[in-house]
Amino acid sequence: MKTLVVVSHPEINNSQTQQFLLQGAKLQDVTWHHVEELEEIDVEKEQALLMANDRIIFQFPLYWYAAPAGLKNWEDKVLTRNFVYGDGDDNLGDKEFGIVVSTGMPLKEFQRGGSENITIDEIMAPYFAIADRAKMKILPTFTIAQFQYLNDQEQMQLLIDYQRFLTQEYPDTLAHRQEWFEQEFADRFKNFDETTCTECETILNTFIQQKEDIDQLKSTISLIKQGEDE
Amino acid sequence: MDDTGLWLSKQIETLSDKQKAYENRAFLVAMNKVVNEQNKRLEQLKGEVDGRLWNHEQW
Repeated sequence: MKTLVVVSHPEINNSQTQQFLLQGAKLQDVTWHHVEELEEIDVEKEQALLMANDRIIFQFPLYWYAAPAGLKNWEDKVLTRNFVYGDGDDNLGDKEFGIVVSTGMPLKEFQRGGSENITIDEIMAPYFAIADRAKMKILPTFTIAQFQYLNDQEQMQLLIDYQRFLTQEYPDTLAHRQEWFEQEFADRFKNFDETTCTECETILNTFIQQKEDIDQLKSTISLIKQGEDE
Repeated sequence: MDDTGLWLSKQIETLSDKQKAYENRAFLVAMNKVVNEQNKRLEQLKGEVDGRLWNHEQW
């Protein structure tokens, strides 16, 4: 699966959050595409880039309950009516669409009764409307609230959660999490310090065994349930 | 809890403590959370199998 991250931030080099995410996005099959860095928007090239990916992510900080102007400008030029739905081709149909949004306010304020009195999903409505129009599958929004207040442990978790958001199969179930970690562990363990391949292979095989034990128990339960119905 | 699950969690924890690279450490800490999730799920599923097998209404 190929993922395109369309990033919008007018001062990306000064953004700790975006620099942190940039490190996380250095994965195989993930393309980081910063719209403010484009000298000019070549519509055909941008549309081809969208078509070449399976998961499209819009990533931006929340500026007055919307994305920065750079993303709106990019959308207005690239997402032409004919490309999205007008010519009868669903060029983006069946692709997945997700948003990574950062905000300086605590997440708990984004609800009815919170100081923002609006939910993140309500704010994202225009993007979801585009995705629906394009017949894309919408992923739950990945919100990063108050990055600067996260402690080391929380930042570490964020990094891996972000990587999973970019590349793990949807929806985020235990089965898909297991598959993702299995695959990534196999790819990454050669770079681990102070360990041997044998040690890592034992860890990986045990992890897989646990996954299979879960599946086995589930199928036992479903057999028992069938018996109960009869 | 199952010994295998506890052993696996301990192995991953030890390995993560040895990692110098931030991303490797982060990856292993996150993977260990999934192992803990597996352990919990295994315990719940085993409990469910026992509970259903001992369902007196089916005797």
